[in-house]
Amino acid sequence: MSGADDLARYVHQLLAFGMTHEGLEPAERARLAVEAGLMTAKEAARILAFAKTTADMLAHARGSAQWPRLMRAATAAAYVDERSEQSFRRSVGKLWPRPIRIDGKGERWLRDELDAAISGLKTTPGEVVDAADVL
Amino acid sequence: MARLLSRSERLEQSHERWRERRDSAFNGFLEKVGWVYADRATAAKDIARAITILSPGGVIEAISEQPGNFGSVAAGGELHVGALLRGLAELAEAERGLRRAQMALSGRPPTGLELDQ
Repeated sequence: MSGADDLARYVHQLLAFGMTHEGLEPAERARLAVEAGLMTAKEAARILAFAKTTADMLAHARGSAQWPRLMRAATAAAYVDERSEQSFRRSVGKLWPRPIRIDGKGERWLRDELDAAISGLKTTPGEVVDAADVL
Repeated sequence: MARLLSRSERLEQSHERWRERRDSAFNGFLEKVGWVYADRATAAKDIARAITILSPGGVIEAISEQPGNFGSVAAGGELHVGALLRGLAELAEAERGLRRAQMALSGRPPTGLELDQ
């Protein structure tokens, strides 16, 4: 049997196994596939790991898609879960970025800048302490 | 005058058509894997292993978000990810059709080995 035939046989066996066990949770399917000798435990663990990463990325993308890229103060306050618009405004320039000004529209906050500020909270602990003082 | 086919003959013909479609879908899938990945055989096996655990829909998401999950992406391979996903969906549909045909023929769910034969 050629290498191509071996590959085809192996892939078909895997796909058939997946269909036979499609009602089960991924972790259970992985366990059974390893038991059946279709893959190693290491291969199964790697697949479960990147599936979780993918699910997290998609959840993040779907969550982000619900927020506009430009936000009024009230929307931006809700985005960062401030208690009120006033509370949010008190932290602008300290904890949160300054808005841009759009002719005829007024102040708008950029979602990307708010995200960057939030990421900064995580990576610079000293600023978190300052932020707590402000709040 | 053409002879009317018996039920079992019709089922056998349907089964044969699905097998041909599955084999064709597999060859198409394999070709598209080669468009995207530097090591076609390794990537094809890795994708099939992932389908076993995650279902085709889960694998399509994984490829769309991070093609690198399944091996080294060849130069320009990203351009062909859409074609690979369509090939994967066709293969999954053909495998499912073949399984249904096999069940109709034998009256019971087929094993992986029977689907392969």
